[in-house]
Amino acid sequence: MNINSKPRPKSTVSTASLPDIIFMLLIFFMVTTVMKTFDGLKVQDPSAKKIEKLENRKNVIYIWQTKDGSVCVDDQTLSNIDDVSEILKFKLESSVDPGKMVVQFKSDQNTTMELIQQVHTECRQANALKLSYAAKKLSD
Amino acid sequence: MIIKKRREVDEINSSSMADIAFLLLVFFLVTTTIDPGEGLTMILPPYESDPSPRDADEIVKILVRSTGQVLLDGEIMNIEQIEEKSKNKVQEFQSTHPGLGKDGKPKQPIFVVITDQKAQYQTFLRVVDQLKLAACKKISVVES
Repeated sequence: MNINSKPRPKSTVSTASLPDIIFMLLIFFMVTTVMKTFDGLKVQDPSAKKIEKLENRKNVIYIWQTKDGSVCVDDQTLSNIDDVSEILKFKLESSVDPGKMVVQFKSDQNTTMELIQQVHTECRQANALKLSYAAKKLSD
Repeated sequence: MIIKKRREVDEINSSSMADIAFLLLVFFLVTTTIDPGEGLTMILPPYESDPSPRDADEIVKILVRSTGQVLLDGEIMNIEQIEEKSKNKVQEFQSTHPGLGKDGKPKQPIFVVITDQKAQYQTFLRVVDQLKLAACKKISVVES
């Protein structure tokens, strides 16, 4: 009786499908990842022609403002517009480069200038002088 | 007659494909940036600055009324006309005020945008947009 007549082929676990699994993971995470961005308040952006891109998200403070007067700075909703300067001051002090900080106004297009001017004054009090008015690109 | 020898099938070693996939994953994680948005840029004056007196002829007044009506130097006009008109104003100013300013560039008039409290933000922004299109350097915003 000869048992060892046939040499059995070496059995290895095939790793060929491992990249497919990892690609699947990659795609899964790309699809499901939601960046932590605060959507702020619901506003209708005004439109303008000469708009410029902001450089770095880290250097931007966002202020949302609706036409009924609610104000929101980054992710804080404020009940009183006078608190804006305090928060801006704090944010500027805690930033790496206060000179580069830009305040972006995301105000509703139907907001009255009275409210806009109030926030202007708050920005000036906090010494946040670089502004950017968020706007949609208006084609010619 | 040729006797064929059974050749073992060569396999491509694909174990490093996983590493490549991981590398791609890390690359995209690092390089992905979120768009910070875009808009019209503007520089505000400091809060505790006393407004230095200006010559009246240095200032071009733009009035934005609550109805959306816009006046440039007391003249009612469409918002689209502002670009052209303010370009003319700059040229006019530079011909009457020759010479260079402190920054070594030709002198610029100051465009003061005066808005009614009830004026709409959109109207104001379109006026500022027109001034920016006309390459006006000095824009000031005043509440009436």
